[in-house]
Amino acid sequence: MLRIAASILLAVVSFAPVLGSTAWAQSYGKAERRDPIFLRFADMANRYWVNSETNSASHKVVAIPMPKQCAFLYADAYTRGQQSESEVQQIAVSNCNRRLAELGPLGENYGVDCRCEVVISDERYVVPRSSMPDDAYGPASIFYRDDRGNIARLNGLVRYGALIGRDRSVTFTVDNPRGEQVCTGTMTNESPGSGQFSLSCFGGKFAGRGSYESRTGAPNDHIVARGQTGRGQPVTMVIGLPAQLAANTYGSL
Amino acid sequence: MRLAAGLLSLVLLAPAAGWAQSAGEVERCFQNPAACANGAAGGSPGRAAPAPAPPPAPVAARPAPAPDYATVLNSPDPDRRKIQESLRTLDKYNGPIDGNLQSEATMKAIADWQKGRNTPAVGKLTPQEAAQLNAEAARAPIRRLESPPPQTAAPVPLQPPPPSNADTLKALQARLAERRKAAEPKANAAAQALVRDLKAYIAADGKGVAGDQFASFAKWYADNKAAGRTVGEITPVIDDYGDAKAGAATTTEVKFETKQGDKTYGQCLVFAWIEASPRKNPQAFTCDDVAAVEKWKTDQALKSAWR
Repeated sequence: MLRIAASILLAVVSFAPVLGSTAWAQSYGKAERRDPIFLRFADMANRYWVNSETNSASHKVVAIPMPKQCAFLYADAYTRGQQSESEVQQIAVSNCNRRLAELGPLGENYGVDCRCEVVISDERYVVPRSSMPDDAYGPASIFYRDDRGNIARLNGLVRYGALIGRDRSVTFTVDNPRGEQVCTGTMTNESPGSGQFSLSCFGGKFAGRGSYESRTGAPNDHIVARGQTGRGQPVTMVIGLPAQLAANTYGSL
Repeated sequence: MRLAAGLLSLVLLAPAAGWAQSAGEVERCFQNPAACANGAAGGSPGRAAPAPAPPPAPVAARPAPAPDYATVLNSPDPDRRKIQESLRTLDKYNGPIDGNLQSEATMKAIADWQKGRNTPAVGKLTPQEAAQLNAEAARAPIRRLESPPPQTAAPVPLQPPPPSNADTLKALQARLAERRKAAEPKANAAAQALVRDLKAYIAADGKGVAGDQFASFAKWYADNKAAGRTVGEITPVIDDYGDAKAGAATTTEVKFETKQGDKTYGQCLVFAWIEASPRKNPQAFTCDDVAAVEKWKTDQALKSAWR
């Protein structure tokens, strides 16, 4: 009897990873409108919950780059009748990967490998809720020109716990690619798309302040913050673009 | 007295002034924040020099051989230029790349680099030190502008360090609390006026301005009525208040107690409007429709005085 029980337990344990690897095999609870991922991506929330065409689709799938600190973009896919759930999942993952590829490599920002995964399928989470992004994350680059004209390019990732542009004041942290917290800062909005920011790194040894604005649309929604250090040297911070794209767009200060 | 004050200000400014804020230094601190957060590793505060090597283990009383500086000084021209390049990469040297390791600028740069490593600042390199210098420069992610822009502006005087983020946040929260307190009378008045209109609409069994202005509320009331539910207590909680492009905007969460037979149900709607007579841009949402409420605020360009 004991032997039978042991072999059943072993079989369950052995199969668990296999079941976990197929997105539609497991569910980790129902997706809710108030969940952080929908607050983070308002357009997607609108399609998922409000828009009558997409809201009533027979299959609704959301894919994001994972692990959670990589989740600065998303792809959602909807269909009626014709396609199976797994086909819609493939479309979502493929669209997510295409968006990542268009923006360029993330290796200078992240020490982890960011890969698109299906996280919600037909209104249920298919990854553990604890692995989902609980805050807003994204790649971040800081450009600084010293008084000799040399430019420092600092690439890492940013984390903030609220919605920039909606909440009055948002604090954020910047980590280097090894995951060490290097800078802290605050963004205070003055209008929905712009406001003031301050940044402090290395225990206050390097600090800057100025104004920021949100830019939506191609190549990706992002925030650009421009200011000066206490000594009047220019500093620019870009949130939401991988290092190379940020450098090509804003790196010349 | 003035001298004392001057000395005091020098002492106070020393930490900020001591940190060079060169691009290379900033990049190194970003890669290795632990070396920068608590002041100096090496001679000057904040420098991210490697930690000093542990003292050599004592050996038998045999005099150490004199350091070999001649090998590097007599090395081929490309090797000597490479050393100057490395010093430049590490922001120690800004002179010509001419292979002259005995020029005053080059020796000073070498001495600076040695000082940063807690080794004797002799201004000359042993072969091992030269290899370490080149390796350190190869690791440093510095991109130098070939032609720095002309410095025409007057030098910016040193400023005291800006307040910490924690202090900034604290001050901001205090300002917000003050602003909210100032806004409270108007926000409360707006919410109470809404509740009066809602009660009047219910008392008139589905007639009045509340239903005319908030179509979703009228539908909600009609649905409840059709289901045989009556509306009891109405409790407002202000969600947000502030100036918007068309006037003062209010969003208020209203809880309704509805009854059907001996059962009581709690229901909730969020009302959003711009203060005016009649109310402008009025809309009602279900309370779990957070994204739509936030979108309404964004559309109205609401500058919150509430949160």
